[in-house]
This record gives sequence, structure tokens and C-alpha cells, in this order.
Amino acid sequence: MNDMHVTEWSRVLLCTVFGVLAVTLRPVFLLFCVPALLAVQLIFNREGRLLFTRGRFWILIISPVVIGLFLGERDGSLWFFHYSQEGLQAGLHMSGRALCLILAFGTLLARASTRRLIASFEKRHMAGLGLALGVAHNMLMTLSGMSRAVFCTIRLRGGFRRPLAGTRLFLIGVICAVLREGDEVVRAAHARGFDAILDGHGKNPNLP
Amino acid sequence: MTGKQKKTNGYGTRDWVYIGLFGALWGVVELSLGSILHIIFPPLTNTFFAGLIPGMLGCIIALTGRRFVDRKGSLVFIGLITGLLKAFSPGGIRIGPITAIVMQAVLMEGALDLFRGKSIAHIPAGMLALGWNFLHRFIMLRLLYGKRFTDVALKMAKDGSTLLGIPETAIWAVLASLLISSLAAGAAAGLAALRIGRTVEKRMAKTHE
Repeated sequence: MNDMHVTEWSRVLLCTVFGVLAVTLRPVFLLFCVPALLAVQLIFNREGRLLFTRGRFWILIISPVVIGLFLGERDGSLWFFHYSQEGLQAGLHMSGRALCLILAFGTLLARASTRRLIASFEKRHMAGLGLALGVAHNMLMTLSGMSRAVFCTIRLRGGFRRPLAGTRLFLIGVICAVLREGDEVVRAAHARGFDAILDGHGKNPNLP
Repeated sequence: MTGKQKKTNGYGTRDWVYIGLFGALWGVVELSLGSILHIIFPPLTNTFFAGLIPGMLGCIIALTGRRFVDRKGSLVFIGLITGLLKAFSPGGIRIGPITAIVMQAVLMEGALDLFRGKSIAHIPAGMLALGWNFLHRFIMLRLLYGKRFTDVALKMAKDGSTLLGIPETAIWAVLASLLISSLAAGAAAGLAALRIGRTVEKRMAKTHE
């Protein structure tokens, strides 16, 4: 077992442990869980800091607390501001749980990349899925350009004056182009001796 | 047939390539159109408005793809590829859209299997996929925030109806009408996938002649 393998499994283990803790722990203990997860995130995934620069993340974390302040009986007060203590507690608990789950998921997928995933699929005798992911990843830009070309062609010929018929034409054009491109890829794969169906030992029967 | 072949259900190179390409095409819709719509609309509207358009297009592409990879489970793989592309997209890893894509694929495959690949199965498959699109937000928020989310949501609905002076049942009516419109959009997407698939098949047959 090499280091990479251990690291992958340790990430899965960490994610599971923190996920279960986030779901089952009482609100008070979440206070300890959050700093631990933040530390793990910084050790395993330094790029994970980018998460804190995203507006969507802060909306998810802050909105339950803000909404909670105004829900229920407003029995607490801070200077002139009256808020609901029960709502605030519920909001903090919800935010803590969400933060734990998001950080746990981030730790799991930290430093993952398409290349590593394809290699991982091939190592586990799932060459077909690796091929599919590789094709998808490499063809993404080609397909994007192809879709734009079909869209512009239909638009310039006035196809979108009737939007539904235009969309139908667009989809037919793009899917036909995709299938033609697929035939080319299959021919190229066969020419290189690739066969997704492996024999019982995980080896390609077409190769010496 | 050896053990490994049984496991892959006899998928050939062509099948995997088509799975990859249709997954990528669905990914293109999600990454380009989906991202633009999510930027235009505020975050909480995307389930009901912005999510519906890429959802329909994705559903049409995936169901048409299933027609050309006529193997059990191929639609799940198409969804898995799209989910992985979405996970590694520049927008970063977000649990919500990845789960939604994979769940939609699983539900569509389930519906097709249930009707044993009959053409009519495209309609319930589309309805299930777009129906999930509607429920997804609530299920994800419930998972993320826990059981207190339900209490808070119900309380918000109650307070909101009091504030606006409308009966509480009106909120349920609005939600029901949104669900029905999602299901109708799903049925339309399924029907469109069926017709588009047939047309593409004819066109490709002419090309190969």
C-alpha cells in the first residue's frame, strides 16, 4: 500500500468521522468540532481557504442565525435591539452543523483532480469509467465550441424566431455532432488497442 | 463471460465514449447556462426558476444519450460523469448541484428500468428528474441544517402568512403549483427527448448509408 492510497482512505475516514459528529453531537460540542475541522482543513487542504472568500458560503452559514433572531418570542435584548433567544440558539446550532458538514466534505475532496481520479479508476479495474471521464474532460472545450457554432448557425438563419423549434433544432444539431465526434474517438481508441472490457485479471486481452 | 465483464455489464469502448460525451454535453449545459442563470438570479430562486431550464436541457440530453447507450445503468454513469465534471469545475466543489445531477440520473434510470425501456417511460423519467429538482433544495437544507430546519421553515411560513395577511394554506398552494409546474416541465422534457432521439437516430442512419 503506497502513501497515496493511505491518504485517500484517511480523507474518507476523516470526512465520515466529522460528518457523523456534526449530525449527532449536541450544540455545545459543535463548538469544539468546528475549530478541529478548521485545523484539519488547513493542514490537508490549504487551498480550502478559498472557501471563506465565497459569498454563497457565508449566505449558507449566516442566514440561519439572522433568521433565528427574528423568529419566536423576542425575549432577549441587546441595547435597543430585541431578539429571540430560542431562535438564536437554533440558528447557531444549524450554522454549526452546516459548517462542519461543508468542511468535512471539503476535506474529502481536497487536492482531488480529474487526472488522479482517472488513475484511481484504472487502478481499480474500472478502465471504462476512466476512459469516459477522460473523454468528457478532454472534450469539454470542443463540445462547448461545437455548441456555440451550432447556436450561432441557427441564430443567424433566424431559427430562434420560434424559440422552441429553434431549441429543438439546436439540440438535434449538437447531439448529431457529438455522435460523429464519438465515432472518431472510438476509432482512435481502437487504433491504439484500447478495450474497455477487461479480462478476469484486469488486463486488456487485445494487448500482448 | 468473465467476472469483470459481468461487473461492467458488457460495456464496450463505444458505450464508454458515448457516456463520456453525453456526460460532457450535460456538463456544458450545467457549467455554461447553469452558471450564468445562477449569477443572474438570487441564490434562493434557482431551484424554482434558474434550475428548471438547465434541468430540462440536461434531462433531454441524458435521456437521448440513454437511447444511444442502450445498457442498464448507463444513465447513472452519464450523471456520474457530469457530477464529476461539475465537481472539478472552476466554480469549486459544491455538494448541492453534484447531488442533484446524480440523483436526477438515478431517478431517470429507475423510471426507464421500471417501464422496461418502453418509449412512454421517458415521460415519467423526465417528471421524476424535474420533480427532484423542486424537492432538492428542501432535502439538502434539511440534511445540512438538521431537523431544526423544518421547525424554522414552518415558523417562517406561519409568520410570513400573518405578516402578508394571507391564509397559511395559500403557501402550500403556491408550493403545490410550483411542484406541478416542475412535473409538467419534466413531462415535456421527456417527450422532447423521445422525439429528438428518434430524429437524431434517423439522421445518423442516413449519414451512415
